[in-house]
Amino acid sequence: MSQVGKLNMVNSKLGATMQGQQTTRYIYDTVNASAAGATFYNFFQTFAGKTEFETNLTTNKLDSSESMVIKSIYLTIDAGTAGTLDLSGHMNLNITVGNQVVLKDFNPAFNATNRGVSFDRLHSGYPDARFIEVRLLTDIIIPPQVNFKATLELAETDAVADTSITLGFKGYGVIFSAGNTF
Amino acid sequence: MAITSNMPARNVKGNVQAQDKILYVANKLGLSSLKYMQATTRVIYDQSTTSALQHTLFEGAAGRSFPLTNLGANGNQFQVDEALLVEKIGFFLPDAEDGQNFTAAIDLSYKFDLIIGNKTVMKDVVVEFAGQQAFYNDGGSGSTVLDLEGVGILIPPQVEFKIVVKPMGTRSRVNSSGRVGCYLFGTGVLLNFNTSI
Repeated sequence: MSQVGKLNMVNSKLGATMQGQQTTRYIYDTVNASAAGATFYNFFQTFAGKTEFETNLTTNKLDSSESMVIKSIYLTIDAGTAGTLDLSGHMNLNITVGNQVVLKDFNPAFNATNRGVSFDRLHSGYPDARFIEVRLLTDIIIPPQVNFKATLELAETDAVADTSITLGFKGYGVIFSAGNTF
Repeated sequence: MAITSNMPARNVKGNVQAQDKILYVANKLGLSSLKYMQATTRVIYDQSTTSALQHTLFEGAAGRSFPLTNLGANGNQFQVDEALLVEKIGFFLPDAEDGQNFTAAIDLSYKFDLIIGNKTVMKDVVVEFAGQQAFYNDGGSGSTVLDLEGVGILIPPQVEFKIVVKPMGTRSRVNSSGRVGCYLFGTGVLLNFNTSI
């Protein structure tokens, strides 16, 4: 089933049929380390005080006329003042949509830098381990008005007080379109 | 014809897609509820950070914790209605005993068996260093990843699996003592309660 077909099917099952504007969607959130040595990071759960460059959401759900398919996951880290942490170490990424875990204990680190173990056949091999993107094999739907969140656990404990990590979801989406409604 | 030619590379395997194979095998095994579960992309890994000539990975993983493995308390078998269609097998070199990070396994090949339940499903296979470069590009690094032929191999729910691996020098062809890590990557299934309980 195509991603467009799956998105329409899921939205239809939830009673959220709509004729929106099809688009490519990217949502992201940035989280600071809770303390030096922090290994747990919670994304898409608090938005207060964040700039538009740190997150492009104000709540952890999409609007009533919006939905998306997660096709790629992007991670980047700012190690902070005198920090050395990067994303080359093992990690556990979990994504929850509603009450359902849709990505479980996933380890994107195999795609970091070029160590010969990337998931993708044609991997960019970008040598800087502060930037990772992983293309998923399956279409994961975020329906309208359903809470979602992500948690990341790092193996390495080198975070400093101002270390921050940004997590982004990229994929096909639908946004509001007035059409003939107004 | 047009649809086939437009398929991404990973799906052009006799026109059988990953989820088709999961459902086919599940049906053969009588796993009637698997088709209602949550599809996902999954990677599981385990590592042996004590140097040895031979390692058995995933077996006994329930006794190890993150970051040595991401398998959790269930260890080397999936929960009810969870499964993984293995599409890639990769080997890496843990850089220390704590298992927090890893490096490229340069000039190292890995001879392994994959055993699911009582059955050896991959026998005496070698992942050669830089052996996939004809159709695999990870920057300038030689790969230690094997793309499984066909659609892949399904690890069903509640069946134990393990990998027995011997590292060796790629050019010297001599068994080499060292640390080993391995991941299994592919399309997965996660438990999803569709009905109220």
